[in-house]
Amino acid sequence: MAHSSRFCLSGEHSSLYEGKLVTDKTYGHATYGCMTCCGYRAALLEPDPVVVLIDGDDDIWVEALENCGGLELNVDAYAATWTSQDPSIISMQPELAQGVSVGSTTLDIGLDNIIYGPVRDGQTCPLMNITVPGPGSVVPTFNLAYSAYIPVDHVQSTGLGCSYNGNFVSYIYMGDANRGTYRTTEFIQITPDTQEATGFSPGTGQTRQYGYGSPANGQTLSSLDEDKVPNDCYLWNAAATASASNFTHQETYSTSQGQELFTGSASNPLAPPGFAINWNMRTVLDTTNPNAPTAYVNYNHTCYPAHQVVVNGKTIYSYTPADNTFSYITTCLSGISSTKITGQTSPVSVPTH
Amino acid sequence: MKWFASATFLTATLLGLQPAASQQITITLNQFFKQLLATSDHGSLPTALESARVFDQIPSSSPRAITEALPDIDRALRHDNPDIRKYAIVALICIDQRSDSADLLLPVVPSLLRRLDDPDPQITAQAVSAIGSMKPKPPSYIIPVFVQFLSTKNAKTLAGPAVVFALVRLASDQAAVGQAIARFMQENDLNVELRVDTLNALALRSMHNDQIIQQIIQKLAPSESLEVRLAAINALESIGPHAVQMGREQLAEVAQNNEESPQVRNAAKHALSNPRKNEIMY
Repeated sequence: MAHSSRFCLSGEHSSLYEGKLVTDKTYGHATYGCMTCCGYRAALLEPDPVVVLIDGDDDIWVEALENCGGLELNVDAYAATWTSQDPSIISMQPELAQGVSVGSTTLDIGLDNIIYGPVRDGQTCPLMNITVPGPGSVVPTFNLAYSAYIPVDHVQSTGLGCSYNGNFVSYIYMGDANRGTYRTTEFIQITPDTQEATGFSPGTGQTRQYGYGSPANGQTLSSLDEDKVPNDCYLWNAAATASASNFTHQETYSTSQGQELFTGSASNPLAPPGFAINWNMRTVLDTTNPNAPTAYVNYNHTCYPAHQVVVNGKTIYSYTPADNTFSYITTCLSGISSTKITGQTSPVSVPTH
Repeated sequence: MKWFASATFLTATLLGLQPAASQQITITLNQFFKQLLATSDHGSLPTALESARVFDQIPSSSPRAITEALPDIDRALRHDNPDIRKYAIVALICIDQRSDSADLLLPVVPSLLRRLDDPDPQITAQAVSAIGSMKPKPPSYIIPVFVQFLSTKNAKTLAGPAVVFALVRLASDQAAVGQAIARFMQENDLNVELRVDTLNALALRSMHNDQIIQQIIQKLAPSESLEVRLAAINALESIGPHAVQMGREQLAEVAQNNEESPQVRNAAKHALSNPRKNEIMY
């Protein structure tokens, strides 16, 4: 007598699972016993939830529990469709979700020809088409930049000065007005809803010192001042970059809120130490309404130079010093506590990205 | 604003004017410090702008007006409140801008030197700057005091680079100065900021001391941070061809090292390729 057993189907991971077949070789009786059709159940879209940034993307996949082995396995091989219920929030490609605008939607992954459901002993293994839904959202993310800059063309600073043809010359230093430069800066990208912060970048701008004859055009420093001869007390005299080694950042998070604390100090690298720009700037970002996030700044900084905080291109804090004279600058940078500028701004709406 | 208003009122009263007519009057340096010392215990100190309006007068003040203010500035310099001490130093730094500052400030130099022991390192650094910036030059007896200071614990704050800044500009040709700075640069427990500040302080063309230049060259070592190596290259380049020549081998090594940061590599290449021919070789 011949006996045969047959697999219900074959699949990548699921099929007829190990079972037993009892045969009576004397009388030809067979008992099918435990032949088990092992499919999948409990399919889930991963990650759960899918959270992406605007213009960002994230890998996604479907995992399901393999009924007999008990393992969670990737079943993307069955996926025939990757759909977003609101493509204006998240657009989809196979195994990829892309953020379009802030909001929440449902993502549907269609699995075709998969054995799905509870374990079925001894039955045929039906092929099914199922949809695996999962939550997806696009959350606001913030490019946060602090900077301090000299708001005029040039200033005088502390130091010895120099002697040119027997005349004492006080150095002047290039400012940042109309140059797009800065003295100090800190940058980070922070996403309160995922409690992530990346890309911290501290920096200092080059300090340029000029001697006798500058500004050569009588008003502003220009290419006429750049004689490329250092340490001669005439026109351009020296350049150096201050250290940014003590610039710090610290993030704290609570529900729908992220806080970024930037601190640091930096002094003119071409002048004697002791007079420094100082700042301690806490920016609080609130995403309670993710479509209309707000931000405010708790600030504490020296009264010179100008200081500003920009969130996603919007200036949410801007301080311009009252004066640019040597006396004012020296007083401000001396660290006298009563000259510090402190306070808190009101919350203002900021762009979502 | 309240402080300034009362100060204005004081001036007006002294001049026998009605307050309404005195709004444009700025008090003198002497009056400023009298008022500052009188009100210092009440917590109402002048703003930066109020101070600046007084200190702005310093360049055009008569030597007598400065001299009259010095006793109170000296008292402020020794005040318990660090903010009051800082007002005094800022006033002295502003006086330093005058070509006669060394003569005018001679009486306060001892008080400034006492600030080398100030518990606030920023004040120590500022006091050093106030001394070092005197014109035409500070009294020579401060040199050995500064040299001695570099071997103290207080030097391992921003006051150390401030002293280096002053010494290389005042007496870099003195053997004791070169030795003290070279020893200071060998201190292992200087943080990155202090190392960079020290190197920046040395970036001076008149810095002829080979012992110090050797120390700068040692800061090109890979074990130093990127910021320190950049500052060392800048210092060598600023000092001039002689220093670049002394460090040529090490600079070339940095410039050719593919594992080195591009920023440092480019800076080294720039230093090597930029002999600054306009400078005098020495």
